[in-house]
Amino acid sequence: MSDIGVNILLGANIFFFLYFLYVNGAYIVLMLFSFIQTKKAKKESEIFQLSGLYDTGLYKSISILAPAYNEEASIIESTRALLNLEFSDYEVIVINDGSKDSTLEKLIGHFGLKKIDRYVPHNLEAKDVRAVYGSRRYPSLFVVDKVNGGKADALNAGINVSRKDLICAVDSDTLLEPTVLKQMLMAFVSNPDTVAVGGVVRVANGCTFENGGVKSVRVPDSVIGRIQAVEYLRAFLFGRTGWDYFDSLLIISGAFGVFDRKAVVKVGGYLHDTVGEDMELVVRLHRHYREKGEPYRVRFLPKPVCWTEVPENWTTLGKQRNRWHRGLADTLWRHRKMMFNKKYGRLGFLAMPFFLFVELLSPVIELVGYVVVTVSLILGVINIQFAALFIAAAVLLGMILSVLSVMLEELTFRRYDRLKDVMILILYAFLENLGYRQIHAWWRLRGLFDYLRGNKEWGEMVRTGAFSK
Amino acid sequence: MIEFFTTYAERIILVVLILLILVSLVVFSGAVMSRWLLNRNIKRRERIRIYFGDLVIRYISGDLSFEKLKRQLHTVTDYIILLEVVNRLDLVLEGEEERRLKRLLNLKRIREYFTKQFENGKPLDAARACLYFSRQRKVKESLLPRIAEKTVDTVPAMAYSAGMAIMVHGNAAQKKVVIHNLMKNRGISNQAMSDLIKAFQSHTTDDRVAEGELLMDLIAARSYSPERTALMIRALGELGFYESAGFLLNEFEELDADDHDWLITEALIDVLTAFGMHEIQSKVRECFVASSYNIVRRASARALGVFPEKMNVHHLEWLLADSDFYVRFDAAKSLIDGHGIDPDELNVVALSEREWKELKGEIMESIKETA
Repeated sequence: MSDIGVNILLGANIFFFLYFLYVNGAYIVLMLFSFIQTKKAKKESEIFQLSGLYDTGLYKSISILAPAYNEEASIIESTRALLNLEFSDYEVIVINDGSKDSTLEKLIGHFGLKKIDRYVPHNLEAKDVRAVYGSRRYPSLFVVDKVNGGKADALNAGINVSRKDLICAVDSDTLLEPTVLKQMLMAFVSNPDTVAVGGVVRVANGCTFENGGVKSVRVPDSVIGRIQAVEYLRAFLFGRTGWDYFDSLLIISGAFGVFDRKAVVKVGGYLHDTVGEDMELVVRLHRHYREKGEPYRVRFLPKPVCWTEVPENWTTLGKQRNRWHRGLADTLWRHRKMMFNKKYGRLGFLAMPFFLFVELLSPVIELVGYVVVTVSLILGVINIQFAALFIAAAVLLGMILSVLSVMLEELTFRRYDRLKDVMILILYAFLENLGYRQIHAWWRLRGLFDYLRGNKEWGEMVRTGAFSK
Repeated sequence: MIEFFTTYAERIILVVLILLILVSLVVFSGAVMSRWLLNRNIKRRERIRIYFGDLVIRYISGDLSFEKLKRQLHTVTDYIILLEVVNRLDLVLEGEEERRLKRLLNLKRIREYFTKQFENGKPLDAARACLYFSRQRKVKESLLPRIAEKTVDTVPAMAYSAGMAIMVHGNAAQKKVVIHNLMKNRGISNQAMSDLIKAFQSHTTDDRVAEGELLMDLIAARSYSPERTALMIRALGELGFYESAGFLLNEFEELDADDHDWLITEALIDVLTAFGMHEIQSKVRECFVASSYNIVRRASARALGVFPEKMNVHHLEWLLADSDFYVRFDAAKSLIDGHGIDPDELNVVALSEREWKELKGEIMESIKETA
């Protein structure tokens, strides 16, 4: 092979090495700051709980928006759980997004709903509302029946119907802990400029539930579930908490987030033509307030927890990750103006580039890296010992970061009460690097290609029935 | 650079790998160790909590003297746990037991701790201290102006806690300023504002006139949001301040039939109805039974059931055909309960047989619940 070829391959290897250092360096920095932020959040939460502030009526009123499409099997259970939350001033708005099954009939029958003539301002664009239902027995429950328009459209319709100060969007495969709203709303009580707050989403598979609350926290039984349990801990406890420290949080999970209603209306609500409407809304809020120069805060709290069912088969998981990656690509492209733009401060110089180079492009670089290293090995540009040592270092570092997030959970909120579960998570933090990580990169790479091809499909989610266990 | 990497790459990676192996060993053993340490710590705190829980219960029930309980407190952890126990019990105790419990809050070390927290400049710590002051039986007079100043803080928790301390210990002039400050704070929820007004009511040494007049002044200022204004109107009603009826009637008369705020209109109709102000009937009949807000039509239906005028029956019958089920419900209930009309004699032609059956079922259920 010519010298030029060797130099190109060597250069590529050095690029991958430097990229590896950048990515892991960024993760280590995030980890350190998330540790500081988690400790701070825990202290704040304790001050609230112990001082009596937690039991005051300081919390703003809130509308919980639960979009439902063909959810006849679980709609009664999930609505009942929402009605059992420990909070004084809230309403639950279930939005039946033109379901083709008996979702609406089941709600009407079970909760004794009657058609009401609630005034619905058209603050946000949404498909026609056919009717609003209320109940005397459940005065805080409202059901909106509307023409099908997708999740973002349903949420916008819910915001139009809502009359409270805040809105909380929840997924139908999500269960909120009864005390979660008070914990989430502490952020608004501590800082009146808060416009959005995200909480932790955890894996429900394997846990047992009773009366709308979690009875015992266990790791899932399946390999795929356990790997996701580690992923969720890492993503929420050190990813998002770390970004919260830098005041640059770009994602609040669509499964669980609280927003100031007026702020959301001001920026135009959820966007219809994207599959990453949750991230897009948060970035748009940032952009709006930064451009206007108005004070605002987007926060992440590591204590409030909601539980979500995660896919238990590879195909569904692959589709979900593909969709998440398309959503990420779409949001970054729509708001590309923010990248390296001093008007947006840390968002433009830290968070957006991180999400572009580390989150969006990592599957491309990682998979190309595997090919280049293999070719370099075959051609003898790098030797096998170097490659083996490098891979070992990469796996170990990945594992340490995952284990540290498990430890962070241990040192702070300790939801897994059995040492056995913690050990299983540590084991899977190691195993996920051997095979799963590569498959995950492949799903995300396909997501990127699908985005470039203009694919905006959601895909079906297969329920495992985690909450009925 | 390429040369450097080709020469030393293996060595660098080997060093990194060894380091990572060491770190992973530390992390792994740290995970096991931390669980062991945390478990031990939790068990210890639990033991202390049970111990002090028992002592405090014996003390408030009179089986243990204050001095004996005080002698058991040694470490900072002891005081923290004692405070936790006291906070929990404070929510459920009343009378002499509450008085005894409050004495514990006045322990010198606890008092000094919270005074320091108040001074340290952090809003959450100061908020916690103010909440503590509000639960004490007495606070130094010299401290009150400084607490009152905190009610302009933008952090809602701070402003609210300081407000609560003033509502409990402050004088009428301080309370007036504080309520005004808090009304303006957009971060204070309506629920919190309502609690502050209730605290004002229960701790005021003057008669209710001072509070009633203050609320009327604030409503008349028209500088607060509709939610806040509605809250104050309802507070006048809850206070039973009949002297405000004329003022509220005036506010009601000024409501625009086509462009009214539903929260304020509903509050005015409810309160004036409770005050027995029959003067509202004509405007309710002429304007609000046809309001675009179902909440206002429901309030109108309830009000027309309270006043026995014959003309109200026609309007209530008209409301029986409303598009909102609960307006129909309130109208039918007013006709049956308020005007003594037999359900079978009601003019329900606008409703189908099924709709009427449903409505009647709900009314009967509601009457049963009230009974």
